[in-house]
Amino acid sequence: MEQYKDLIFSASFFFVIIRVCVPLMFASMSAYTANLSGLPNIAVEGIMLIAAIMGVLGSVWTHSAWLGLLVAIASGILMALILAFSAIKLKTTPIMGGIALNVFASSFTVFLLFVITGSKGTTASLPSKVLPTIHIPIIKDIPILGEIISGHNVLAYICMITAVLVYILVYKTKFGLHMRASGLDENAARSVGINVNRVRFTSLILSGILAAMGGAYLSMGYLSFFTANMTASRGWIGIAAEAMGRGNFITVLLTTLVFGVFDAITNVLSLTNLPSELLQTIPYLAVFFAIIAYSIKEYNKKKRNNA
Amino acid sequence: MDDIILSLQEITKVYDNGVFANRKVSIDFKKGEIHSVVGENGAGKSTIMKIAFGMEKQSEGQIVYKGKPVQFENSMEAIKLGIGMVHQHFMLIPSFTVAQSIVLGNEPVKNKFFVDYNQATKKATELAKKYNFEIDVKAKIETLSVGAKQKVEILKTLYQDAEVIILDEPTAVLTPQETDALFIELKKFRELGHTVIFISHKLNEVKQISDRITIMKNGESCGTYNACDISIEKMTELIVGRELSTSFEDIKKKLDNTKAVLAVENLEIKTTKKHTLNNINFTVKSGEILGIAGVQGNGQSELIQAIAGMRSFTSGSIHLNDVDISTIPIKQRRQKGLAYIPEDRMQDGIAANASISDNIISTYYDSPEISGKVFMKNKSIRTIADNLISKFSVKTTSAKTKIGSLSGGNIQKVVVAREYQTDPQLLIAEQPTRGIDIGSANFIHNQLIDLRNEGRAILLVSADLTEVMDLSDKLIVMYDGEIVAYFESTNDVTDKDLGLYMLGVKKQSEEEIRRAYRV
Amino acid sequence: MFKKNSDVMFEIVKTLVAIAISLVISFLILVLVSKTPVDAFFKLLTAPVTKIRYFGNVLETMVPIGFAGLATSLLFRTGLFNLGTEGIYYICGVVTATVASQMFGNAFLDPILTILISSVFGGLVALIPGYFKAKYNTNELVVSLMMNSILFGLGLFFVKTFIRASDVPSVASNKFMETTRLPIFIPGTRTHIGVIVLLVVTVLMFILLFKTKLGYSIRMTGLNKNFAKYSGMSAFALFLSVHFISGFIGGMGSSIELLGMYERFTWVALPGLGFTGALIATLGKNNPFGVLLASFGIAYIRVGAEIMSRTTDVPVEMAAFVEAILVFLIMSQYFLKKWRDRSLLKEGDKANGTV
Repeated sequence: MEQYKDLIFSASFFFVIIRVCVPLMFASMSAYTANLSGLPNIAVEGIMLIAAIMGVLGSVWTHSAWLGLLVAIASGILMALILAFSAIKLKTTPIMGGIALNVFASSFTVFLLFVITGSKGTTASLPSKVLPTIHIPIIKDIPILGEIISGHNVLAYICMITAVLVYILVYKTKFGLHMRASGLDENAARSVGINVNRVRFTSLILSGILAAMGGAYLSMGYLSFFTANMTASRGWIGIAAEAMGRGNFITVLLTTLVFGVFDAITNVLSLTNLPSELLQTIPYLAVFFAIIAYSIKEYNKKKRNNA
Repeated sequence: MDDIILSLQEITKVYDNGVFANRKVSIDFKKGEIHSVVGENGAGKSTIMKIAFGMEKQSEGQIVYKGKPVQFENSMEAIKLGIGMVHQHFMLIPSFTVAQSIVLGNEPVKNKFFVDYNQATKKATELAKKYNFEIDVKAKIETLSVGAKQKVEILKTLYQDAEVIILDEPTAVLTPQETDALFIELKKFRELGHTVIFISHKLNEVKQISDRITIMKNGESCGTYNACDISIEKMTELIVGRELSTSFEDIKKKLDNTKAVLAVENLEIKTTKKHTLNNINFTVKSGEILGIAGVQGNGQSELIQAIAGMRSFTSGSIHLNDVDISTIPIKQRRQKGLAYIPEDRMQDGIAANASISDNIISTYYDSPEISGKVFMKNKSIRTIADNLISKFSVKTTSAKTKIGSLSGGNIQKVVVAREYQTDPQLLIAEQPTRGIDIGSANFIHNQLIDLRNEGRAILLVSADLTEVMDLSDKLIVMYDGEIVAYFESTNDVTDKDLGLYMLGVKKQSEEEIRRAYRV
Repeated sequence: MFKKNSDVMFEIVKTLVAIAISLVISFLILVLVSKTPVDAFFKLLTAPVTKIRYFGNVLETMVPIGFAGLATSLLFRTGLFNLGTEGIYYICGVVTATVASQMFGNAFLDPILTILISSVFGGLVALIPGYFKAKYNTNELVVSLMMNSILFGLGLFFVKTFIRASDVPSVASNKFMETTRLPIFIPGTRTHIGVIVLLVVTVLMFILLFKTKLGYSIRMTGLNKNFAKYSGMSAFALFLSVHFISGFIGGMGSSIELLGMYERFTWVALPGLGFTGALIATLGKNNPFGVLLASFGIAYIRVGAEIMSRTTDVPVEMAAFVEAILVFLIMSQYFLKKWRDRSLLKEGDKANGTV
């Protein structure tokens, strides 16, 4: 027991929390921005996966990690646009479109892997670049706090800034108000001249960018190469967090954080000799129980109100 | 003719499914007039207005605004030119504040991207003051009454600098008193030079408020008249082509030995915030139609849902033929003789993508007549469906047709047919003729009377005062979740008094209200 | 009747055009990635019918995804977006592996019993999301996806800890008993009688949906939940039954796949069959026979791609392009709608002219 305590109550544990939270945060922000405008994006998982490999390949082609990130983002936007186009213009159910994109992404990434590297495992053999880690001046010298906050991948900091920006976008700007209106009642939004389709297209692009940054973080920060199915349901965890936040951004972020903590615990415990298959189920169990507890709470609340 | 602000010229609208909504409709609207467009439901009033507002595109014809031909791609373009519309179904988002709702779509901004919420509140307040609207601009929409929501809708159009304000059936949801208040406002708009287009099917209101009146029938215009030149009788004649028969007194049978079929006792629905229903006591006897009048949103829907089993309640009891049905599931209530024509037929009453025959059996699909232990008896279903279709004269080629492709009136006939098939002891009819053609409505009204004459109990809720007053034997008025009046006969109350009860200005004494519970 | 025919015609034309478009795009991609695009394309399209063994491969491939499609389509039809068939396939595979090594040694009873145990287990597992959906309206999409990962973790742990074979280096279960093996149905191929079972289950599913009381309430609930509630149908019992049946079919598919095609349980990752099931349910418009047809189509493409990948430089994942485009086009409400409207309008004109 002692050994676990040491593992968990240490600065490095909190460092790990931030590290594992980054892709989850991107995923839930991606799900959030899309759903807020009334067009759910359940292809977050697939977009992250494609962005992860495209980031690596982009960095190989351009010899620049930053250009690689741009390629990843472009691929994320493209995926999101396909979803938006099919849902808005072709009237495909967005859920079905999302499922199709996810299935496509898991095959397509392996397809690319094989066509380019000749193997179906990883891109470790490619000379890909990694986005830099940042050591924040002054803060890095503060004991404990410095150990926790400093020394993360640049995308971790971009993630934190993005969270603030998304908050401002949704609650302070004109576009944010239009997003909310479109999601809450599209007829009402249309009746005052809001171009709901344009709002949704834009929201989906944003959603695609966010998911893509999450994917790029995995292959160009968290690890330094792409492996098949490396997103490992992180996109789905983002969607779960979004489902529990119900339009409230802060709740979405806090829920994601909780899932991140469980993910971090898994990470830390994997250093012990506990069976890894069981350990890996911990974050999913956390989401599983959380969403059930949440729905029971909602059920009771509704019952109280109705009765 | 330069005082004409908006001119619709030979507008024709054909929908994708080949239905003509409008055929060569021409109407001129003058600056600073109140111009009514009247006609029965389905006459094409709403469609022509949606075209004028850019929500629908005409198939042929053109719109001339201030002397220039215009082509609207969407309503934003109409709004920009100064045309505003207050929709029949409010276009408001419950969780937004009044100020947010008013400025939505054209928000005051600071630094180009950010909504200036202080400015929004200020502007909304000023606007309300200018037009004498008493409203708290910081309140959330969900806390407002129907009348207040309508004020917000009107303020929205004024905020967008509308010179032409289209109101689609604005009085349908208002009490007589609220209607009077609205009319004072409309007259003020006229003084300030706005053009008000008033869509309605209530002829006395139209006569009272309008400068000019355009009458529509079957998607065509039957001409525009000065209000002073045309009588209500003449309008009626033009609209329906025949006199409306509204009295059912002569066909109502007198029945003896009646007993209470439905008894509602001390019913209460309490949420954390407030009472939705409180102290509800009444009975419905066999062979009578009990009408419930009231402004929408005063607890009628909740009451009906509680009786039908669609929602739970806090305390009290509901008895059907002396059996306590307070907590039993919907299916068992139906087996005990309850039938229910729901308020929103598309949402609750049918599955639009299923066939007529699938829809016409849903409430008794497991009765031994049409199903065994596991399998459905498709042959019997077919027979029943065909019988009902002909008995209720549903216009369709086959029972296999998707019900969603029928007209509103025919869909409602299917719903009514289904509810009649179980030979109910109690029929709850909630807005039974809302939004359907007059022929189907008459048919359904007669069916209701027939069922009453057979000695069944009917609980009727309708926002259409004429309907409640014409059909009901006894009448209850609801306000703010309580029964505020009970009348032994609809002849005991005038329209004006009814309005006062509906608004909560008047309330009968406790003893008088108690009379609604008859043993 | 006339209208009904034109509806069916429209669906057929739409499907054919969708297939054509996805093939054209596939060819363009082959031109990009392959040195011998024409050869590869030709293989992709025709290889499965060149040899009986290849065609057998199509039928074998069709079985597991067909079952997964049926299982998922039942959920979709009820209006439940549950993607849990994936996890059911995995955990029922583990159950099958466990049971199949401990049977009686009777070649008739063993497979039936194994499949039955696996199916019931699948049904029971599916009751978990079913119960929470029915009772608390818990988001079944999220719950089922989390369960996929959880069931995978538990299953793999179980295999490694309790039934791992010591005689092979990789992670695999002990050998299934010979008697549990499903009989071959087409000589000269590996096509087992699972194909027949799939056909039977498809027909049963059709009867369930369109001839029974349960099926009626499934269809009505799927079309309009409020309407079903208003009519007095109990969503609680219905959601539980539907989840159980779906899990049952899923467990059956998994078990049949393992007993028909494997000697040991060797899945060390989620097999992806459940997700494919969701695609197939979608393509087949949640109609049992549509699902059967879609599973054949997808199996054909996958086997074509597989053969192509063996003899050319294009990987088997190529099939994903065809599948994704098909789903988007066939699911789309507006694809070809204009063309159809115009032809309907013409029909209308004609009708008006003659009257």
